[in-house]
Amino acid sequence: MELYNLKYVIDALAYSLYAFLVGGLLLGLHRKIVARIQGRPGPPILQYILHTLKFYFKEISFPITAGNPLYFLIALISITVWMSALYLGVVFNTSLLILMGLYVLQKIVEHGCGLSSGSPYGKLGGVRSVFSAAAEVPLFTVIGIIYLLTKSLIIEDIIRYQEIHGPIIFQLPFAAFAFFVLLLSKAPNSPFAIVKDKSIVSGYLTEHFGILESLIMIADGIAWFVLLWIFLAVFIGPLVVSDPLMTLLGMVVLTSLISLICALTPLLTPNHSVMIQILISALALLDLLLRIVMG
Amino acid sequence: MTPERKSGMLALIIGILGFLYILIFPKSVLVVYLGTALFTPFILYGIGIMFIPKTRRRKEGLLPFRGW
Amino acid sequence: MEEVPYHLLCCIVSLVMGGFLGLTYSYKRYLKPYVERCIDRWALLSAILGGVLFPLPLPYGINYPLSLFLLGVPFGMRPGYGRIELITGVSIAILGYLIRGLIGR
Repeated sequence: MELYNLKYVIDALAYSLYAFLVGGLLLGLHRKIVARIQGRPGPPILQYILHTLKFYFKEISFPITAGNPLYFLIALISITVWMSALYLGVVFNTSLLILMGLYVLQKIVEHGCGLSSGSPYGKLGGVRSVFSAAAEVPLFTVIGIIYLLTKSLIIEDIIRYQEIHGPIIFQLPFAAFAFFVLLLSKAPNSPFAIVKDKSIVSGYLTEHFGILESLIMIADGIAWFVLLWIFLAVFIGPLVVSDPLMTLLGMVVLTSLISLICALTPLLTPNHSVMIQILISALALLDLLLRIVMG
Repeated sequence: MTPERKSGMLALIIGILGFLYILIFPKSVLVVYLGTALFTPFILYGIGIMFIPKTRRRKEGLLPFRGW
Repeated sequence: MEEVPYHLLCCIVSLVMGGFLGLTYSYKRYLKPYVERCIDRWALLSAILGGVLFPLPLPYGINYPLSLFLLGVPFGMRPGYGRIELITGVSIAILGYLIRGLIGR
């Protein structure tokens, strides 16, 4: 019996380990920068990875209100979603539409996470994650605008388009801004992070502790890597993405920028957050319509 | 057996069977990658549940009393 | 299909390992939670060694993971500690890298 597939499995696992470590370090850097701006020493940059490992070995017990098996399966689904996004987007450079579908699945994960726990805080977090689906409306329009420009939604084609015509960020600055707001709304402590607002304890993660939280944190680390990579690939292109070291540098710069914004802005209330996101998506939609009308 | 350990055992069995499947059968690389994405969390959960310390609660669904 | 950056993976894993080592070491060694302007001898030694090792062209590019492991020790130390050491090590590494670039390999 020959195991051709063993090499691919090892490759896949190695890539997700890489994505998790990079994403975890970047999220640690995010916390550090926010802390330094606010005049605190802040935790070590390794803290995110340390937390993940620490929670992995903690005792857990399923709460009596939890709706199993969704309660523990949702943490596994969270990792599956982001690992699939990593492979389909970063490794195979497939369509942006599939990645958008996976991003929508992430909302289902957040919602299911909150509702299966049976805790009122978790439920509030789940409900707020449905509100913050307003962050995805700009994504639709951004994808439309990119399609009008490049005539393709396959990431490989978009990267090739930029090889010839230069980075898209200069041609579609508003679309890049709308996508950046999406990145921002995924970052912890950002003005749009209503899902993890401290007034509802830990939002949808409230009842997911111990190993379940560790698994969700692994998924979040991979998610951060994937989202930053997509932004770099779609808007800046081969200048950054062709060399992994340059990609890392670009991710560090983007994370620092996002941390700066997160540290300097207050958390919006849910209605204001949704209003601003809808406003941005309306402007992006206007941009799309103008482009269609102008041809 | 506590429900946590039971779920961990089930996840481990599913994960190992899934990995055996993707190691032997698929011809397409994409299927191998997506299979890895699907079954790795089961393995992670199954292994992790084996490492957690023994629970200190007396009745199912109750957290142990840790003082005021 | 994108290739897996195994070399970068090695570098990052060794950085994280070095960070764990530095963290456990500094928590064992120091009890005060936050102290500025305190130089740890071993961390400084490790940082300088890591900085010197970074530009050395060893076979298989093994110098990068090794030097990142050594630089990781001050990098992972508890808040406030290991700052000056890390800055020293990183500046030595950057200087060495630039000098190597000027000489041409």
